[in-house]
Amino acid sequence: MTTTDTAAERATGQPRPPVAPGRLPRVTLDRRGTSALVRLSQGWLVLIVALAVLAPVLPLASYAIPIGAPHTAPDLGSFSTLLGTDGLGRSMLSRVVYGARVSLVVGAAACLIAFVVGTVLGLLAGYFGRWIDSVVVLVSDVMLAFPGLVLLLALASIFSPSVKTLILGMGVMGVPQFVRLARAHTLSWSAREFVRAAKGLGANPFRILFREILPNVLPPLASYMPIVLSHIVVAEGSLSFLGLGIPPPRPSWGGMVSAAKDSIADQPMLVFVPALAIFFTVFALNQIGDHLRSRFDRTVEQ
Amino acid sequence: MKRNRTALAVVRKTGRGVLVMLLVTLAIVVLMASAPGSVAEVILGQNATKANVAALNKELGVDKPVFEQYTQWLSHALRGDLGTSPLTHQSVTTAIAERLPVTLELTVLAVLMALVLAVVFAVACASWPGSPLDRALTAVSSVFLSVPAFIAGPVLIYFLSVRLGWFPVMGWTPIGAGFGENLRAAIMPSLSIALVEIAAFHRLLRTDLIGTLGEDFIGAARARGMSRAYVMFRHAFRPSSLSLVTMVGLSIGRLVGATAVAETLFSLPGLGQLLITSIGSRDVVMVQGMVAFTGIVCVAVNTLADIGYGVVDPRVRRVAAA
Amino acid sequence: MTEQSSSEQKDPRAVKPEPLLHVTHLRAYLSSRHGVVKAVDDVSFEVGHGEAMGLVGESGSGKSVMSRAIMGLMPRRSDRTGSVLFKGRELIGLPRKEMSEIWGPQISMVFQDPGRSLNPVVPVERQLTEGMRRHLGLGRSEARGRALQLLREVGVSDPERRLRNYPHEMSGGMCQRVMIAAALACEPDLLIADEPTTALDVTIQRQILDLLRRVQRERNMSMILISHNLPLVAGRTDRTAVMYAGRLAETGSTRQVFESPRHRYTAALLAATPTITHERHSPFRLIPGTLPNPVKPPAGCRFAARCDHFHGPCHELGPDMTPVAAGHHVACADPVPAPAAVGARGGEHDGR
Repeated sequence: MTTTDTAAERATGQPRPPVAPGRLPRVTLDRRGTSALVRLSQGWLVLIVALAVLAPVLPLASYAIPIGAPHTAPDLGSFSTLLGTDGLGRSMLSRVVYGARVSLVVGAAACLIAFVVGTVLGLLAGYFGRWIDSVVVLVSDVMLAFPGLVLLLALASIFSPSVKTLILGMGVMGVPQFVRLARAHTLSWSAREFVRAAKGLGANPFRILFREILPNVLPPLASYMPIVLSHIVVAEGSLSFLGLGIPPPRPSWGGMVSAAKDSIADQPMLVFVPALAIFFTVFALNQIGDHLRSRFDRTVEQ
Repeated sequence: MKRNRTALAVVRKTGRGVLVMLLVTLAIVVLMASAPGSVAEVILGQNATKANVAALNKELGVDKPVFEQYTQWLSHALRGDLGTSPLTHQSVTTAIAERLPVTLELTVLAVLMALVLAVVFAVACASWPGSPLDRALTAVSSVFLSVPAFIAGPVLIYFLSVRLGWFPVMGWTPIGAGFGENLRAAIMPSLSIALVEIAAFHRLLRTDLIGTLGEDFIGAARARGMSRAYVMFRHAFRPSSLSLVTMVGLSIGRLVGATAVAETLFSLPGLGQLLITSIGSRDVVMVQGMVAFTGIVCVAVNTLADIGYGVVDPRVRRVAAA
Repeated sequence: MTEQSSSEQKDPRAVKPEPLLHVTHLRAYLSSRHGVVKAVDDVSFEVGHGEAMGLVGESGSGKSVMSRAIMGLMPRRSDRTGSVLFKGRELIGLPRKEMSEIWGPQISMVFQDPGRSLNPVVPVERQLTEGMRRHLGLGRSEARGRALQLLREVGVSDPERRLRNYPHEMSGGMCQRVMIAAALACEPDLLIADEPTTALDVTIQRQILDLLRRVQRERNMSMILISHNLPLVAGRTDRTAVMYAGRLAETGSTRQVFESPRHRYTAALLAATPTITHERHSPFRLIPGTLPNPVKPPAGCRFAARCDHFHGPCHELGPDMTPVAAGHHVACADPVPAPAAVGARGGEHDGR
């Protein structure tokens, strides 16, 4: 059981010589701050947003008109041919950039709707409780019970797809997530001393709600926006893939994947280019979302 | 006393589940009734005569007030009748029953794959948090999280079917025609919808395991000299799997949506494919019946997951709805 | 301990029997948001066979981390150096596998909050018997029999029913009795009790501490009893070590430390402690100030900033532990003057 040197020590009865105090414990600290991956993600989003916003002024060919032979390989010669051409000879880069416009406009608008509506409902439910709370929670439970994509499909079956209906549908889809978060945060802030004191002093409840609670609830909620946005980008892509998103000839990433999927054996690039665009965007949003949540949402561990 | 409280919780949760189901179906009927133009016009197209439209509307019962439509729909639905498609003249219930096995198999297979992989990943990560292994697996899972079915599907087809030839590109072999062949047809579509869930389960379980491993009772079990594996599986795993139960329940909804994509991509005769074709042909009755069905199934699964909590956690009677 | 102190009196370098636990230059650092916390910073002491040592200090002084550093149950992102000799065997650097042979049958531990140190989803029986089944190779029914016996020993009524309970079905005091039974299950030579009563009702605290002292004596086991509550420790230990900001301030027999404290910190701490013998209307003398920053502890005496006797030498490199009486060591540049001789013999000083 005992190691030899301590056994020897015991035999001689000599106390163990003190350990040289020179060796100090080495502890690696938690690495905080922004990781390289988060920076890359931010870079990608900046790039894609810039391209989408600047698309009309960029030297880009139209996404609808062929610029050359179909299936040409990427060519550094001109901006429009950087990613080659698709099956109809249209510029892939132009289609990817204009596809980003659709994804981002729909995503951002829907996310904003979900954020505003969800936050207000969650605040009211969490603060006033009673029947308002019961109704809001029940309604958001009903909405959560609906598989988001199935809800959008049901909507697509009765309304003809357009940017407006897509934004509305996806905005509604995102509401319950914000309701839950806002309600939970409001509940915890409402129990705080300063809020209870304000209540006891008879302050106007809406004043308390919007002056005292909202500013505290906002940062953690806003930190969820990239995550919700990524869900919406995925949902929009799925709808377009199923042919129920933005109608052609407007390009969308999901539609591009769908159109190219049957020729994947011969022309894999036509699938991979839009697929990577979606992947990078969703990945970047998830990374940034995780990063923001770890900074602003105290309920997230670590 | 204790047993009574447990029973009461089950009854309460079931009651709430039923209430949510009613509201879900009500919402669907209201939604469908609010479609611009009458259903009959949509079905019959632009060349329909007014008389035809009125007749079909009457047949479908959509000329009545919305609430009456709902009670009528509900009373039929409770008897297992979700209506008959005015286009194919097939009973919606029959159509669902025909297509269900495919979707069910895809979903179950996806959940199983996701659970097994996620548990292996999460246990490995939580055993050596911060290690290169942990970081590698977490990175893999971040990638999976960002690969929705309509991306994963084509990529899997390209690499596993086109390049390697391991699996058929598309098509379905029913289980009756041989288990192996059936699995060969099912594995790629299931995997394509499972990737996101692997990541979701893994992230959740990893965080919960690491949290649990920091608890005093884990230190106490270690201080009794219990081995690493014993502490992980006999002490840490169960309390950490609580939120996973809820997560699996919630994943069903996402998976049902994703099966529509996978079935379309791989040409599988499942519910999702039927839903997409019905939407294409404006078969409102079929769409309504299928959406109601999936809604009810999802609520049922989530209610079960909620009740299942009590099985995993003996405290749940005390800590109501944690 | 007695032999050791008397031999020390004659010649500190004389051959002495190996203590059960010999801690030298122990340092344990943890990571935190604010930097590396030097929770234990160069601590040396011994615990003899069958001896109960109290380890006292304010919360945040590093007592808990020290107990875990001895055990080898350190949190993530932490490190310890120095030496922990247990029965002559170095525990620092011992592989986990060998450590797990020591945990239970050699050293075991009772934790602060019994409500949190029992697994909420595992019945009491398994938590009580798993150690015996692993270390003593007992079968299910044998282990169960011993578990019932242990529960009776720690004063649990209706032990058969308790075995089937989940922790949340028992009171805090009952949970702690179960924890003690589990810690005793494999007959350890050293029991470390880390604030075993802090989370319990005042009335239960005494019972639990008396129980610990009783089993410690009956089993002739060594014990380290950690507490911030001085009077509770006083009556139930042979020796006492006072810890302040990651260092030991004073060690000695419990009687020496409580009756003639020599370190300024110990004296201030005792003056700030209400006892029943305390005159009812005389004011408490709370120690002004707070513990120093554990990330950047001051050079020299760490108590200097709060000490009303500090002067130049206090800020120089830390005072080392120096003997002031037989078995009584103090790390203070300007110790409290010695009162009339107090016996070195460890005692049942009645602090109650």
